[in-house]
Amino acid sequence: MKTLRLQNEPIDYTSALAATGTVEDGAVLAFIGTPRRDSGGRTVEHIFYEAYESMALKEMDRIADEAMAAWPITDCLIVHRMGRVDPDKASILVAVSSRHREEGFAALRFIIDTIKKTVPIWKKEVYADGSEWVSDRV
Amino acid sequence: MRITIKAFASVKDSLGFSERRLDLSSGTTAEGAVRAVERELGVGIPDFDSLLFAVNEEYCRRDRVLRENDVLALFPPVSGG
Repeated sequence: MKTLRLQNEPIDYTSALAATGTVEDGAVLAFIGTPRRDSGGRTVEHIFYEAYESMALKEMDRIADEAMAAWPITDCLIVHRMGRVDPDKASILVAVSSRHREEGFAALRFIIDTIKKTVPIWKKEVYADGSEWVSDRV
Repeated sequence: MRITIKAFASVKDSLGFSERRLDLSSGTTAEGAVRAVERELGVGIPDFDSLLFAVNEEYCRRDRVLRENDVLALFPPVSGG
C-alpha cells in the first residue's frame, strides 16, 4: 500500500508507523528528517517549506512505484510537512515494510535520496535576523 | 498562444508572482518564455543556469517548445527532506 501526503500538521509518526506493515512482514523501517539548528554558523529558528504540491505528489508517487518495483516492499509511506517546522519537529517521515530488513533498508535509502533530488519542495531557513531559500543540492 | 507560468521559492520572490498568464508566439521555448517575462517585468532571475523547468508537471529541458495551454513551472534546485 502507498501512502503519500503533504501536510501542515505535525507528523504523528507513532500512528503512521503503527499503520505500516502487515503480518507477513518482518521489518518496518523509517527515516525521520528534522531541521538542523545550525546552518553554516547561523542559528535556524525554524524552517518554512513550500511545494509545487500537485507535481510533488506525482513525483512522490513515481518514486514509491519505482521502489516497490525494485524491492519486495509491502507498504511505502511518505509524509512531508509544509509551512513552518520548528527544529524539534519532523519535517519528513519515510517508512517501508518488507519481509526481511535488507530490502527495506535499500528501498528506504533510495526513496529518501531520490526525494531530495527530484521532488519539487523547497525550504527557507528563518533566522533571528532574516531568512534565506536553501538550494543545497545544486 | 496562451500559456500559464508558475514560479516557486526564490524564483517567485525574484519575479514577484506565483502564477501568470502569458501570450506568446508559437514556437516559443520554455527558456524563451521566461526571458520574455524577465524583459516584460524588467527583472533578472539570479542563478538562471541552475533553474529547473517543468511543463504540465513533468520535468523538461529548457529548449522544450511550448504549446497552447501549457503550464510552465520554473523553480530553483529542490531542497525538501
